[in-house]
Amino acid sequence: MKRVLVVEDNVNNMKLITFVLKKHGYEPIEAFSGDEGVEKAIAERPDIILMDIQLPDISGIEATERIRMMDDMQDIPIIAITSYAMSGDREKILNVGCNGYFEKPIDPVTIMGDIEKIIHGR
Amino acid sequence: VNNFMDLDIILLVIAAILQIGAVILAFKLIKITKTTRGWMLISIALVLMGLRRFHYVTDNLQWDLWFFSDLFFEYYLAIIISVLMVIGIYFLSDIFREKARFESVLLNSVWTGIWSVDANNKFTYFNKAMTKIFGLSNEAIGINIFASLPEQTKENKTLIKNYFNQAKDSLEITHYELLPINTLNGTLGYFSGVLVPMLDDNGKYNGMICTVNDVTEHITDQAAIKESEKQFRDAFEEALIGMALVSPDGRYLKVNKALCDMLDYTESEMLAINFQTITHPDDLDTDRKHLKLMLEGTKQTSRKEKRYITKGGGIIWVGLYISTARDTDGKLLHFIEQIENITDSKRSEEERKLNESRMKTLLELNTMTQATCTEITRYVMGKGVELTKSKYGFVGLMNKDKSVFIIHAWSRDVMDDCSISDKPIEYPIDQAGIWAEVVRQNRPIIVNNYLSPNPAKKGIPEGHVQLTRFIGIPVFDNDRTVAVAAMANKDEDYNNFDIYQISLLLSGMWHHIKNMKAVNELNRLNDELEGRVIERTDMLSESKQALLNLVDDLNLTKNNLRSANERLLELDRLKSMFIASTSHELRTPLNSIIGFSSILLEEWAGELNPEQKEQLGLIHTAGEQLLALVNDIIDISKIEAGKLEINIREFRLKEVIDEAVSTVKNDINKKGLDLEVEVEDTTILSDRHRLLQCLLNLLSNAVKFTDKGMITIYAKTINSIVNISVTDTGMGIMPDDIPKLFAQFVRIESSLTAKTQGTGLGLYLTKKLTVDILEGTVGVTSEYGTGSTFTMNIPVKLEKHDTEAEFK
Repeated sequence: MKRVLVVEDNVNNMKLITFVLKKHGYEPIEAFSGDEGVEKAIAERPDIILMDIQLPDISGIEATERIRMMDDMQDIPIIAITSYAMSGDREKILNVGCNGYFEKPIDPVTIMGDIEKIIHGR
Repeated sequence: VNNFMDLDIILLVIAAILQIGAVILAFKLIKITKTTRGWMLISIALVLMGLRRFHYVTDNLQWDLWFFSDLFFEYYLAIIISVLMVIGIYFLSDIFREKARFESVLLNSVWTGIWSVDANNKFTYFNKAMTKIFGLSNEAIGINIFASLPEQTKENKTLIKNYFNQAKDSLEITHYELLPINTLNGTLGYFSGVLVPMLDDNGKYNGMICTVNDVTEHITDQAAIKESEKQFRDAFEEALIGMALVSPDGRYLKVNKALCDMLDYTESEMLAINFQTITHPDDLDTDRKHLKLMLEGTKQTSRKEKRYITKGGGIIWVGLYISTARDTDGKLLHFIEQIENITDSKRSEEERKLNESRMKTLLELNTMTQATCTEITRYVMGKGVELTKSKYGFVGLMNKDKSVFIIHAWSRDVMDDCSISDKPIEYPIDQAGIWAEVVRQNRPIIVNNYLSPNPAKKGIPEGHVQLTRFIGIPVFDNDRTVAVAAMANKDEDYNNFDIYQISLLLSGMWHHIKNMKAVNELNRLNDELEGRVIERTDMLSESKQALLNLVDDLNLTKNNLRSANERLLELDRLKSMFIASTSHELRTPLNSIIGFSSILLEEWAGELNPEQKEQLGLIHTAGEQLLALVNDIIDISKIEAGKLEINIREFRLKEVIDEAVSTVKNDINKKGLDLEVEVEDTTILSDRHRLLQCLLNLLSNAVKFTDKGMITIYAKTINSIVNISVTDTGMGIMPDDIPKLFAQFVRIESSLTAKTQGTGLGLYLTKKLTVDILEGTVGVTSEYGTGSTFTMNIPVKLEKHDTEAEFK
């Protein structure tokens, strides 16, 4: 069972994503802040990371940078989930090492197909 | 013996007498010829003769000397004496011959004719000159002189005979002069000479010796000299320039007519005076200095200008050229003077100077702007006296009715010399003297002989200054006499030039006075005007102040407006920021609404009955609508707040259009519409995301408002502009609604409005994006009921620039 680290501060969104992940047979790991996301990424070694960009402490971009700073964290697919208002940061998101991104609101019906498409498409 | 003795004695005596005679003759000859050789020889002979006589007288003496022997005396001595005498006489005769030859050469070599006649008037001698002059040949000797001379006229013959007889009768040496005698070649000559009568031993006339000098040429010379003298005299006499010979002490030795005329003296009067008499007193010193220099010989000539006083007392200016005539020792004989009358040129020069002086006066007059009328007239009067060289003067102005003359200025001399008890400054014209004639006759008046009777004179009051000459000049203004100037007692006669000078001066003065009056009036008007100007200026200042206050108010208002505007802009920005941020907050719950409703509709959380499913679908759709609205609001706010980032890159136009088409493809299919896409496959440089957003908006609108027919997408690049149009066959837009179409929150009311969904921000956002972000245009053409065509024109290459700056 693939483990997916979800970094998302909003509880409702977290519930929605984890529900969809579980529904599709993934094991979600929850992190509600950037720091926690980085810690859990290092500790849990997930197979996929879904990273919200707008976070209360450090941004998803910084969190991704920190994760990618580690040698053994280079291959983990990180998919950013951006807010509509953050559309200008897309380049930056890809530059820091994210493998792809989604724009909120996520469509729970299609999201997992899109994630797999990103992971296998690389 | 006695006889012998007697005879001997007689012979001796005779011999002695002869010898004494010879001695005397010898002395005479020696004296005449002054020869010493003959003298010595004769002297020796005489000594010897003396010795011989001595011997004879003392022959009884017995001297034992050979020298004294009888033999010697008788023979040798006699021989010696004879030899000596012969030699001496030879010498002497030789001398005579030479003397005769000398005399002959002398007589024949002179030009003077020398001749002699005997008592019968026959030639006894004539020299060569006579031959030359009268052609006498040797045959003429012994012939009567009148027969020998060339043919003479009767008159000449008589003249000659008269002289001849005079000498003959008087027996005195007779001189004759300039006797006309016809000469050899028949021409008349003039001769002078002397006739010397000769007397015989009895004192009777015995012919005469005469000389003849040809003076013909001499006479001609004399005539020439006389002619030349006459010419010179004429030149002197008739010269137009005055000429004089003046003695060293200044007396006139000789004067010519021109000089006499110039000075108005006769020649004899002139010769009685000296130059000092007629020289102007002011020039005398200079003259004396010159004279001294010339007498000393320091100066040989002199050239100067001076004044003479004519007999009539007039003054004339002359140019004087003096040279000197000196004898061989350098002693001054006399001066030679040439005198030219330069009075006229001098006068014109003086007139020129006076003109200049007058001009200067007039100029000065113009500078006397602050002077009073009296000061001006006094000034002009002074200058007038100066210009005319008068002694007295006054200047007065007429009163208006011309009846009273007001004297403004008078020369000090007048009042000092004039001791009239009451010195009125105002003169009634009808009581005034000659000067009033100027006013009465309205013309200048000159009286140069004031002392002689004049009908115009009214009689001078007792004590008035003695007038000799007078000039009075009026000044006219419009034919009215306005002022009078009078000058008097000039040394010379007044003339037209004085009138000219004074007239100009006075008219200058009058204009000045008039100007002054005018200027005073002008000043008064000026003051008045100035007062008004000040008044107006004050008013204007007040108005200006009011205006300035108004401007201040306006500035204040402007500042207020500006700060208000700034505040508004800030508020607007804050509003946009607020909307942007709240919109984001609005989205988060929407995510949950849409997300969970999706899951529920997918029945991942359990089965739903149809009613639940429909209602949950409505929630989901409403959520999506709300999200679209919020997204549009966020975009608009960002654009307005200048926060919208532009992301320019190269992309293929067709790809973007395909993406947009694919998004609405489901809806097109659902509605059963036809789709036609005709797009140029070109690469453009722009913001892909925003272009896509615009195309989606236009396409979704087209689909939304079209129930049947087709939708056409057309794109082409013309001149670096990409032209994209979306045409539908929908309901179309009413012409009145077209202008409102791109405004905020506008939804065109129609039968479809209720059925269709929309935020009312779609076209507004499209326009904002097209214009502000893509730097293009968007427009629409539509026919109501038939369809619409929305057209976008955007640049092929969008230049990067700082968009934020535009919105700050």
